[in-house]
Amino acid sequence: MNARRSAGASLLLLALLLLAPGWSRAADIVDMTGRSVTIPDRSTKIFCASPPTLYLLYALDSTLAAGLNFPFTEKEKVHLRPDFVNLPVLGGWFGQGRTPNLESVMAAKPDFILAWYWHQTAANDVIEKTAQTLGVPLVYVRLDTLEQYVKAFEFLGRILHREERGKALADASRRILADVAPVVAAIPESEKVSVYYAQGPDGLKTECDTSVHAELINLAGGRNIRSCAARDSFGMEAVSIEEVVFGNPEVILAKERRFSELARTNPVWSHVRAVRDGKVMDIPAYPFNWFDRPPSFMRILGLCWLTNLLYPDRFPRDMVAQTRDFYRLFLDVELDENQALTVLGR
Amino acid sequence: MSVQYRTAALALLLVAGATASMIVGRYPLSLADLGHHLGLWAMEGTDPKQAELVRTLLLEVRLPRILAAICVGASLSVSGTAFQAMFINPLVSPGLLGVLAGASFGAAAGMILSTRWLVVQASTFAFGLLAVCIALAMARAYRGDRLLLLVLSGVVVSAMFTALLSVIKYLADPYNQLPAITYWLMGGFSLVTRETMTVMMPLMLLGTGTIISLSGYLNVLTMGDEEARALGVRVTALRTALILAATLVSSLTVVVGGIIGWVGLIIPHVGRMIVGPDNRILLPFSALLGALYLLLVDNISRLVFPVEIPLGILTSLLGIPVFAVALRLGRGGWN
Repeated sequence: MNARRSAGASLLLLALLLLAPGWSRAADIVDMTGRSVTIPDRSTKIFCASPPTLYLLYALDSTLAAGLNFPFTEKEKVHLRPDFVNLPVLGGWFGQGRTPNLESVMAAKPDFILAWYWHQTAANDVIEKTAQTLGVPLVYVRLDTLEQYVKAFEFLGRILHREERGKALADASRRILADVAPVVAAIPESEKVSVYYAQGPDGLKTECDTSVHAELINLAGGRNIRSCAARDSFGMEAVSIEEVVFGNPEVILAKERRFSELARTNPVWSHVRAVRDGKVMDIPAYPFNWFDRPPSFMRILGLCWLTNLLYPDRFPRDMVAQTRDFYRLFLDVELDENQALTVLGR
Repeated sequence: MSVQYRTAALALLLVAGATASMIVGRYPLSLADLGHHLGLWAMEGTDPKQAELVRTLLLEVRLPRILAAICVGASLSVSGTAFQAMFINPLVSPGLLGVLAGASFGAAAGMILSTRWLVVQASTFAFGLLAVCIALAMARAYRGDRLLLLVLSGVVVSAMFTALLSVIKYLADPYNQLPAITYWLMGGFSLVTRETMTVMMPLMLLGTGTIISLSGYLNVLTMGDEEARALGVRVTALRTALILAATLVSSLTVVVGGIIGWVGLIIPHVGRMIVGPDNRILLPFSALLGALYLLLVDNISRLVFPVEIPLGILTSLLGIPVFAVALRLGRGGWN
């Protein structure tokens, strides 16, 4: 009896010994698309497959990034942590060349690959299989709307054991969303400011009012003069200058500085109300664009900026202070007042 | 040095090159690790995780890629050599009858219409074959100089599939699909998997083997159709068989690594400079030379840069000095 008990005990002990490293090392999580993935319990290095997820991870904890998707420009570097911008460039699968070398990715020893689940394409299919071959788990986040960014902060905070940080970012985001929402809800349809979103060097590529690329205009209570159903998820709808003159927007949001300069000097554009009133606004883009392309959490600050821009009386906010707070919390960089003004393009 | 020795030397060089390629990579792996993994010597303190990693690195990442470079290089240069001999024209490359244009279109269409990579591969292969079949059928529809008609039909079919490819690119989502198509068509082996090579390698070897086994007949074809017929060769059947075999392997090269230019056009010439025009020697020699060349270029692509450089760019750029050296050293004579 005694011998059997001791045999049982030693078996139990053996099982514990075998299992112990297992349970401290691996954690089963459910990612934002509902897939079950096993990742190391304490993940310390993550390879982000494309810029939106890399920026997300940067906000949560920039020291966890295994590498960059592409090198940052000098202007962008100013607004990012120096240790982050000096990480090796590993490339990424985001359709702009810079295909990662599989061995470079392996040599970086990432605990998992973080990717944005957007479209399932044949090109993704082969990347998923490759990740499987390398034995590196793949975790998806969804980042289609602002709400999902908030959820993504909490999700990443949870799986990376940075709950507090994730919650702080999510709460700050929610505060901005909640600050804007009632103001926008109170704006009567007749008083909504008409907006044209100008992309491309000639400013004649825009987005439909229903497109996620122009989501901020709707959220900020603006009326996108281009009312249509998006042709596809890519957008960049071509319009003619006549349509813009006919739509006569009160505000133009310029993606490219080359366009905003053109609009101020070109006689054709002078027929548009926004140009006459000096309301061609450059969208802040450092270190990441506040509006779109690439989409990032900077949109949350972008929402505050755009609402303030469209309705300075209904939504009076000190944008310099807001910008400095946001950069301090999300990007971990300190801006002085002049730098904040430069970022805001004032 | 006789041609047999040169071929043997080249084969040895290829084996050595392939072995050396297994050892080098951007993942730092010491020779000690390798020898240990291969069971050459035992080491203290075996870490099962490390062993698993070495296994993945060697068998899943490096080996498929090295095999892909060798097979694609050999396939392209063999089909290029066969085409140049068959059409008695030194400016001909494997894409002559529209196989590469068709395969490119197939790959692009697959990427647009499907979310499965397997479908893309199947579509690439099918359209490569289809393009050549259309060209063959068109050439048959008219009576006249067979070779000229084949070349002409090939040009027409290539133009058609190039135009269709442009339609696909024009309709593709430019943020996601268009770059995927564009970069794929620049060529590269970064995502070659073991499963792909398990299927492709035997087929490519079969195709190149068929062409090489017909090399004696190919010599007869280079004398012109009339002479070949006079010698009792069934010219049309032979040519069709050769074209189909060359098309099969060319199509497969696109399935494995996208469009890799240059190799199929210039490597046969370099081979001819070294061993002369006898196809019985030239074909196997070209195969080895093409394999070695592409292996070398792919090694540069995966070793020199932290991110991949599309292979199509490197084959052309690096090929120019290789061609210059071959011109200088060539002794075999052109004809």
